[in-house]
Amino acid sequence: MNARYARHISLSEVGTQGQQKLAEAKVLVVGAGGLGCAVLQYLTAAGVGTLGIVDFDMISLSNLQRQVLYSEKEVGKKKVDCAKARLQALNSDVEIITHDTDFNVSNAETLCSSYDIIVDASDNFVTRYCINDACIRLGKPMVFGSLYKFQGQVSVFNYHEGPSYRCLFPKPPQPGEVPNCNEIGVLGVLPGLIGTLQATEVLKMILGLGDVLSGTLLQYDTRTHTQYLWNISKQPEEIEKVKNRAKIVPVQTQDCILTPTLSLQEISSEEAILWIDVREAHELPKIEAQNVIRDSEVDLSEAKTKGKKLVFFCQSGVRSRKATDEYMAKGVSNCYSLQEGAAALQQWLAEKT
Amino acid sequence: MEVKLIYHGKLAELMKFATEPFHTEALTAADLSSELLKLHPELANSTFQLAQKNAIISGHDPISEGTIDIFPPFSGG
Repeated sequence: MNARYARHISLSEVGTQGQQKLAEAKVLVVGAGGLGCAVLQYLTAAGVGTLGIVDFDMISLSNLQRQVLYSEKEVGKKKVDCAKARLQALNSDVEIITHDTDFNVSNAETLCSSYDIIVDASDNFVTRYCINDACIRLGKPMVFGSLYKFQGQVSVFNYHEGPSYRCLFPKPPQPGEVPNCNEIGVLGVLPGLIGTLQATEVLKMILGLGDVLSGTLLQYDTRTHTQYLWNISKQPEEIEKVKNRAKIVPVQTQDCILTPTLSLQEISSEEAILWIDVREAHELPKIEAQNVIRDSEVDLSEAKTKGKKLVFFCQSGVRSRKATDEYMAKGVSNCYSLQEGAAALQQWLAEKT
Repeated sequence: MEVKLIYHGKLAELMKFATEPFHTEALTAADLSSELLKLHPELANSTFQLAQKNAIISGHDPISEGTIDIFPPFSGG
């Protein structure tokens, strides 16, 4: 262990004792997207003993612009599996535990209970408030990070009874109010920068170094390198509300996650996809291929377990969004709405298969 | 009192400018918020917080001359 971590151990502020603390630490990273990739990479390299990864998603070609743990050959594969393989190759000392699921009100407390620190590397408000509430109820620190195009926010919540995310924003935004990376785009390096700041806070907490970013929101702008540090006041009544509930209550169920949408341009022909036609039977063009079925033919329990992407399509992308929302509400996490219509899909299938 | 407002994230796009010189009669954060919403009704459907001099301000927190930051929650990850 000494040679690998020599540059840590030489720091008098870390030493062998500090490195031992890292080896004994257990950190859960919720989301293996842009932020998660950066956080996981540095915590693995640093020798954090146990790392949990929660993600249900599969790698898309459009992820590779910023999600640096993944490669072209892995498009269509499970993020948690590929992340684990890559991280284990980087450092076999670290125990990597994969949780191939979405993070929700039913599993939040169970997932978090085995870890010391929870990292919010999620990309939506439903998950973020759920992590926040689980951390409040379990008394665990939450290392928060989030992005908007060229800007990022970082903080550590619920650290030594400090403020929580609900002290900063008591209520989630309205459905559709704040777009996410998938909808609006993000500068590829931004999750790397923000995720690295999150990993820094994790290491500081484990090592007892410096001032943890608790009670302070850091906002960073890549365009100007302006960095803001704003104090957050604790709102005890917001924290008490969460503690006193019988269980975690989801914020505006599914509503504030915008419908996951895929464009044909970001789909690889090698991905395992089940295309689902939500149009009426008479609508043209008819799309006939082995992996195309009608909405009425979907087997719900099979859809939940199968390692395939479910991509809904219609004539223009409107009805398919509605269908995607409905299936997400039924607990099918791996579904998407096709941005284009049937005519474009027909052409794409003819070219690619 | 004259202040300079800085809009962050999506709010800068919503307003179509990132900074705004602003004359205010308000003495507290809550009063400034109401003035702001009156002058810019397009902000009514947005979640945001105000910050001045390294602290997030709300309710009866006093405001003073200088810069006031207005920032929304970010979603992406």
